Amino acid sequence: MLTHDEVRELLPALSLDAVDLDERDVMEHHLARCDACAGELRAYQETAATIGEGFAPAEPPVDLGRRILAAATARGSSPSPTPIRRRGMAAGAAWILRFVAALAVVLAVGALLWASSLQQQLQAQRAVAASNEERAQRYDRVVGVLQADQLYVRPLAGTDAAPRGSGRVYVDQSSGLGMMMVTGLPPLSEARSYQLWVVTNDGQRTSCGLVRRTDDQGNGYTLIQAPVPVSEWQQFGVTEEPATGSPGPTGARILGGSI
Amino acid sequence: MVTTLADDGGLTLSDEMLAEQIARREVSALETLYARHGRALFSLAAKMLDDRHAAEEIVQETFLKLWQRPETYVPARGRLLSWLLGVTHNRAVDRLRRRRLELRHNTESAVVDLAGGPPDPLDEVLAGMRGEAVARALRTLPDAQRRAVELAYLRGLTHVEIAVALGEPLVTVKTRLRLAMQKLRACAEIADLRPDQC
Repeated sequence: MLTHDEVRELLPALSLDAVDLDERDVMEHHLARCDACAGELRAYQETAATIGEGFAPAEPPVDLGRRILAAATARGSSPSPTPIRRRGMAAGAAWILRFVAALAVVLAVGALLWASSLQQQLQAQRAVAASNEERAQRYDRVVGVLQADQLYVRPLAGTDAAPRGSGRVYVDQSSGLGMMMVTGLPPLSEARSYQLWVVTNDGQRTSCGLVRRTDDQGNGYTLIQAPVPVSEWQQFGVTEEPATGSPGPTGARILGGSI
Repeated sequence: MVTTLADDGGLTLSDEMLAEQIARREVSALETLYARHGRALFSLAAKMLDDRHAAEEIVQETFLKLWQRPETYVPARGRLLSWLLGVTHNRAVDRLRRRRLELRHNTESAVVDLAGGPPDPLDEVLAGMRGEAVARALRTLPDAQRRAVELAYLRGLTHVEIAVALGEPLVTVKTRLRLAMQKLRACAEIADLRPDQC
């Protein structure tokens, strides 16, 4: 029997289908009873799927879709089979005439709209390009942390103030640069933020960074700079604080984690 | 009312809406879903198995699983495309493992080249990857971590088999898989945040 922590350690491997059958059975037994592990597995499975989406496309046989539909309907699972709408030969000629007339009108109107839509598309594409550039810069910063050889990763768990909350802290032990990701936190007002604290061996609480905004799922992240060497850390905590942060924790503890 | 591919080309319906229609036994929804994702599933299966015929069977099994047991997809647990890719991957892994078992039984040598094959198929993923953030993270994974992910995801090796193939301790392989997936997950999650998020 695997413990909760042992199952948790194996979730990335399970998301890649890289565990043995015996291990899988034991893990599935645990997953059926542990919402935290089940949620974490789903996140890893989404990541694995992103890899699967990336292959250069290979064209399936042209009739594969037809064969799948035929197999679906042949198995008697559709009480009233739903045909793809087809029109009979007798109605075909009238239908074509109506279609041609409608098409002429559509083309005339479309030509007028086309020029203005091109201008709008150009503006939209410029905005997308600027947004992508900004995102690329953020990814570069994040990837810089994640590619560290001595990456230190620790989980954060929600307290009673945010039972659905969780998070992770990533720190490059050599540079002290890192980031914190959070999810499932209560919504923040404009005047508030979430502040990460590290508790050192001497009991001092030192600020590492602020999450100023979260999305409607309570997701957010912030880049951090570890104020003291990782070897001196004992615990983490996240509290809700004013938007610009506090010199010491004043709000309720939202997330916590130990080394 | 039945919405067919001819009506809207599937452009206005989300995957999750199509899944609801499939649960109501609307064949046209299955047709639309295949038109939308059949190629992605086939590409993954064909790449993993290097066998178009086997890939066709797996794609068919995947769509028929959704058709016959639509309740197995739960929208709250993630995207339908991720579910479809997961089923395809799982079935392809089963085939790869059966192949290796047969190879072991049919060959006089007890040694099977677990890690054989193209030098680095993940390069292909990087070239065509839609998830830009994950592609960037994959590029920057240390070689050892990237190799472990490749052997697990593309070759269907278990972590024990990866340890054997690479001649490394099992605990090392487990750690590499965990670190690699943590990094990829972090990048994927950040990519999902809105641009004004940070």
